Amino acid sequence: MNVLQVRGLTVRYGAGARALTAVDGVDLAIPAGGTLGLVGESGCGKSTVARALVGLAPVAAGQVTLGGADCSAPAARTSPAYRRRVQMVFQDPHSSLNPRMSVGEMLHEALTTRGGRFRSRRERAAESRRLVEVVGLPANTVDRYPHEFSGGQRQRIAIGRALAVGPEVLILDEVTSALDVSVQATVLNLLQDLQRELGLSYLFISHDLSIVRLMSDEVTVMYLGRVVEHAATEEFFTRPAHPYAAALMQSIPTLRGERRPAPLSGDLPDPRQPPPGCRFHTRCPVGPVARPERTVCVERDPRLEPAWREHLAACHFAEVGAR
Amino acid sequence: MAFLRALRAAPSGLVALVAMVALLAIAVLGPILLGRAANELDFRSVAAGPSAAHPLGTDQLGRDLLARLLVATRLSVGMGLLAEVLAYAAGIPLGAMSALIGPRWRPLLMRAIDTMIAFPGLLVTIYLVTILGPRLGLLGLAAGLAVPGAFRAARVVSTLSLSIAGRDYLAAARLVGVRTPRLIVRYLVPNMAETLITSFAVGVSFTIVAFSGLSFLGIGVQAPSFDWGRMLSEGVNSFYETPAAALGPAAFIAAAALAFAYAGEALARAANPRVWTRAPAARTTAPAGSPAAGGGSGSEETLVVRDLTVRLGGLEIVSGVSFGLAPGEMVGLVGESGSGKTMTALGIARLLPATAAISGGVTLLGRDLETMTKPELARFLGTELAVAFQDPMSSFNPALTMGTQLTEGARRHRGLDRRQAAETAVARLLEVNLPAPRRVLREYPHQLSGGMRQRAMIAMGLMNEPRLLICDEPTTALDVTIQAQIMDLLARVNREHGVAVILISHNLALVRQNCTRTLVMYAGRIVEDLPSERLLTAARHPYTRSLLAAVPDLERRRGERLTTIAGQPPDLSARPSGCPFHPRCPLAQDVCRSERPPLEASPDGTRVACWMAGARVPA
Repeated sequence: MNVLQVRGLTVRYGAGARALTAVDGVDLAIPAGGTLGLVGESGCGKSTVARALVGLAPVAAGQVTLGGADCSAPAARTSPAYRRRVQMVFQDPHSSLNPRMSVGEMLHEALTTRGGRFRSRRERAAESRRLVEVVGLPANTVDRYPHEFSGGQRQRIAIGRALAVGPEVLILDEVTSALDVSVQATVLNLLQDLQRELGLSYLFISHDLSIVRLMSDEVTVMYLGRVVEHAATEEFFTRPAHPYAAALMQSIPTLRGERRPAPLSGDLPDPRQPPPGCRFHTRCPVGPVARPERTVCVERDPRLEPAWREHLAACHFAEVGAR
Repeated sequence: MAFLRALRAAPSGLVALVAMVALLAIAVLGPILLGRAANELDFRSVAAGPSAAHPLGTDQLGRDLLARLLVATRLSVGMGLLAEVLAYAAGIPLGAMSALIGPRWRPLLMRAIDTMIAFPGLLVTIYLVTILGPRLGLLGLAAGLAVPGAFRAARVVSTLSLSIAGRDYLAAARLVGVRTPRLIVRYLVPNMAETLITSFAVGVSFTIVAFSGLSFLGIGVQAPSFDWGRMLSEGVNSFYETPAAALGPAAFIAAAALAFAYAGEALARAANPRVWTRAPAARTTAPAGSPAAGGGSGSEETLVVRDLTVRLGGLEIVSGVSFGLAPGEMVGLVGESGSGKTMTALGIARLLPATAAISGGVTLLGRDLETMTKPELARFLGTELAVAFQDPMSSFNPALTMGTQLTEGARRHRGLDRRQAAETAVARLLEVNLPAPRRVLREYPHQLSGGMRQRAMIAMGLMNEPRLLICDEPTTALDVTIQAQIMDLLARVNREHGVAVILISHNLALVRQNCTRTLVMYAGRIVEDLPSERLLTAARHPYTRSLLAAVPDLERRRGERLTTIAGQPPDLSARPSGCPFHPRCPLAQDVCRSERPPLEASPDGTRVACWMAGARVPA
């Protein structure tokens, strides 16, 4: 059962030769009460997906359903009713809080706009104090300003503000990538607790596979605006089907394993002019660069299909194994 | 009262503020106290020069000029303020809308504003005043003055709004349902307050002058009312007989204009809440010296750092750091942000701002940096040491080609000519796996991707074949697949060229996999030093162990909880007593709270600064 479902989402900036299709026909689904991890490197379009889902990016095509209701029209995703159900937490807590408002004012504001559940000023003040406690901050937080807090505390405040409207779905865009590792741990633990207690559904966007494994029930991998792999988390980490996903896993330094040489050479191609055929073929370790006979990668765009059972991959050679 | 402190920091602003307040007081009180004196006719001294009874003299009807000047302040200053208030009341919504209405209508509105600004403002005012003045009186005058000001204000507001409109906090506010008028009032305006206050005050000063000009020309205030401009025009007629009659109003106009302009800047500085809500920084009394530990004797080592201490802005940000680095060794410097890793590196490379005070010794290749003269030092560090920073975009000059920047050091320090330097640069770029190096040399930094820039940065570092390379978070801004490439490159440089590397990183796994040795920093000190391969098994400092436990390694499964470190890194202005880690430490005892543990070396060469080193952490 999915709470938020997206089909064929396409986001395009600009027009003509300089047009950038940041997201190109992406399908994804956030399981109710669970977490979908969305993984990819910078420029793959994962943050654009996030912004499109809350009406902050221009959607050119695609269907969005929220709890069975169709929200494909752009206006539907900026409506108060939709925003009450879907909220987003941004990457940089230093730029996502208005420096000129106290935490209490921010929360009051969010509570005021919430379908009238908190009518009186007193109720709202009580709810603000409850919210800051929910995100693990002392009650006097409400009287203070953003610059008086550390990055981790600010991220908690941002989470509290998102929770103020009582959402079902939280879109978490790289919420810990600006934080130190010890602080990251506290924020990740908080998110896990909140999910359990409030039954929230998460779209957890990150470039860091290790925290995605910790946080997600299912994983979707993007490369250059496309989905290249989708599977349940343990299945994905046990046997990644797409060579890109396998390379990502290999690139992550771990505390226990030995260093492995970089699996990929070269840079991400210009997303304005994606390579023909499989978009990954220019860097693929099992593609035409390494094996010239695999011309199909240059000629034909692979579709996202089951590599085995429910494990989807967009690779002509997924079944034969990525490695 | 911090507000006053902020003002005291700029005495010129204080003077202007006092002058502005005085002008406002005169504007309010002048007509009340001197209204009669200003209109009293003294036929005994008509058009007289300065005297004891009339400090500035009198006018044609024998009225006291000083009294009239002071009374006129209300009209002149008041009109200036009124016109600017009207201008901003119209200009702020107009400018803010241009940022909020979305990309389709924005260009239209912006061009309209630009077009209005292109008209000469004073001409528009004169035109409007001629039409409106007779019917609306003073309000018509103010409106005429306000119209050009409104478009100027709109232009400023729209530029500032556009930059704020891109911030996440505005997006977040929209998501929780904040409506446009409130967005303008609570989000846009407060965040541009500094600039708005300045431009408002400059506007007031401009308008006072403009209004005086209108009155001077006879199309402003009409008799029997009078303002500074009218008095000036009357005074000019008899300039040669009684110059004070013209100079007085002129001085008031100039003083008022200056006072508002400068006061605006002072107020703008004070408008930032950071200025008045931050707690005053407490001075620390850190121990002057600390035992220099470890590091070895030093003659064969590439780098020896002894008791390096860095003070900046009254705070000790690096305290008694000592370590050595063998040729070809790669050492990792880890710790949370603010732990002093970067400052240690900058201290070694002598790249700290001039306001920083460094003490302690740094010996590079057997030469003590302290003993060298400035030019010697520049040359020595320029060839033997290279630093690569986290963000190569901001470390390259965007206005120069990569070629110019890569070859500059080699030409300056090694005396190579342009062609030789270019050949070296090509060779280095090939070494760091940058394709088409000759093209790269002709390109500008922004034309390269992040990974390419970082490789170019390392290539630039290698130009002079240094013996030590300091990399400060070289891969933090990069993707993991690119990070792996850069680490391959660093490993090769380290292995093949025998270049010693200091890798500063917050990523323990990265350091663990790439460095021979790991130095852990906390609150400006090294708290543990051990071989990277023993990090998991032999780390004895509870901070190191907590950090390791907080790393979400790929091994962690869904739903697993990460170990966290309670509390936050210490505020350097209020360092805890004893061991700086004790408020967060699960093992803290009384001794930890009172005495700082020294960094002690074990026989196996590892070092740790902890009274409870190696004790079992309670579950």
